[in-house]
Amino acid sequence: MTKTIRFGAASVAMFAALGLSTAAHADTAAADATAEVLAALELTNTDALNFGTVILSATSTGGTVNVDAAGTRACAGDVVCGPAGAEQAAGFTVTGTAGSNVSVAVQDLVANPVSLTHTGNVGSTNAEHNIELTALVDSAGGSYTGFSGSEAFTVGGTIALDGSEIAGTYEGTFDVTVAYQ
Amino acid sequence: MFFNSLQKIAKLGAGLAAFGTLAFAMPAQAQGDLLVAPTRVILDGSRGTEVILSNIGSEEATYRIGLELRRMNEDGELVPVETAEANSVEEASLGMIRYAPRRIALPPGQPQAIRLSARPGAELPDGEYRVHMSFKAIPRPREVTADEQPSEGVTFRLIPVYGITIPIIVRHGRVEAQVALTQPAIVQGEAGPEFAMTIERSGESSTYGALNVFKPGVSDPVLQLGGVAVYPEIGHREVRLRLTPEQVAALRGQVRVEYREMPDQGGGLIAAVEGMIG
Repeated sequence: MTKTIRFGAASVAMFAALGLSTAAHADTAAADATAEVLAALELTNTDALNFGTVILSATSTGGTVNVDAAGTRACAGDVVCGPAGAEQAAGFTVTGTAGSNVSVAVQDLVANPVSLTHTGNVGSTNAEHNIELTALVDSAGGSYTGFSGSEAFTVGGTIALDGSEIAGTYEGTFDVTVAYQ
Repeated sequence: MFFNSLQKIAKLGAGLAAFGTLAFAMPAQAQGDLLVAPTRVILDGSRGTEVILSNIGSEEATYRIGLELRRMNEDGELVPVETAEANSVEEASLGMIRYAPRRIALPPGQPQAIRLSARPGAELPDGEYRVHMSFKAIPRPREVTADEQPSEGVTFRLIPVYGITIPIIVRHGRVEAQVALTQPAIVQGEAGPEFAMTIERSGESSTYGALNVFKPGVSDPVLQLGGVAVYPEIGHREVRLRLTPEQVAALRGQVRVEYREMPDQGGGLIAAVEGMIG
């Protein structure tokens, strides 16, 4: 295990243009050219999570809207799905070293609940201005065994409406984290 | 007359549309895309190092850099730990990491280095201390225009706050690990056959490397699993890997499993086992 410790400092690959010459002799300032190649991890967001438009009747008793990781929408209870087309799952691409161990985690909604708030009533805690995000699901299912080097994953979710919500746009945020071991 | 005003509206519309698309594209996409390098940091001694954060999106973004705690479970998953639930080792880990800056606004394509170092207290017991550094874009506040409120129906805007975490490992004093591998097997998992074995670890240090399965007389591994970490909080880690029918066929019989450091760490052998897969 001493090897691991000796190589310590950072998990970097040192490539010297002139072989692995013991560089660092800057005082000779001559021909040594060195470059460090660092393993990198990239995360990009390609699509937003969108539940489309939902219609509530004046007497609605509420219900749920689910967009699964494939982007398919389903409305349940006393909630009517509006015109289809806009709904989609959130899309991400993670790029890193092939064969490394990369995991995907979405926000734990039990520990840290998310409420979508009416954009015209920011800060309001009234039921008619808030919609709860009750579930998040990622297509990666936690982690990649045998990470290919670049993987796309999607995140779907479920929201619960109680029927009292006023018309308008509701906004909220949720966390998506890619972790490297 | 009608045609004329229509033309005007069309012109105005074109201008508005261009503006509108821009305003809409911002929260949904490419704000906060990021690159982090390296993906793993090991600190020993007082020498510090740097981690590069780069904005690979198309918009300026502000990133927050923080420290989080994770515990590995025996399935190899890193489970978040709230600061309030931290044990003494985790508290010490959080306390010894110095880093700056903690908030960076970056234009597209711009990288910046985050300097970090560890200052373990002199009385701290020898051991391995670890935190996970998180890099996350802060969503930009945006103005709500009156006309985007639909008159009926309910629409939603869910803004993902997305980021990367990498382990920062501090080796303080003398740390070692002993590793043994159990006999590999093929077991029936939920979605089909899986390669299964256990990495047994003891000592203060974590181990990190690739698992390679070799067949006698074949130089290339028939199965590879990279970046397998076993952190000090667990004594053994279950390794499971789903197999294709071809891989199942290729694995049967005599095999040799090697757990080696990653090539950029020297590629040294950590542990190996010979086994028979029936």
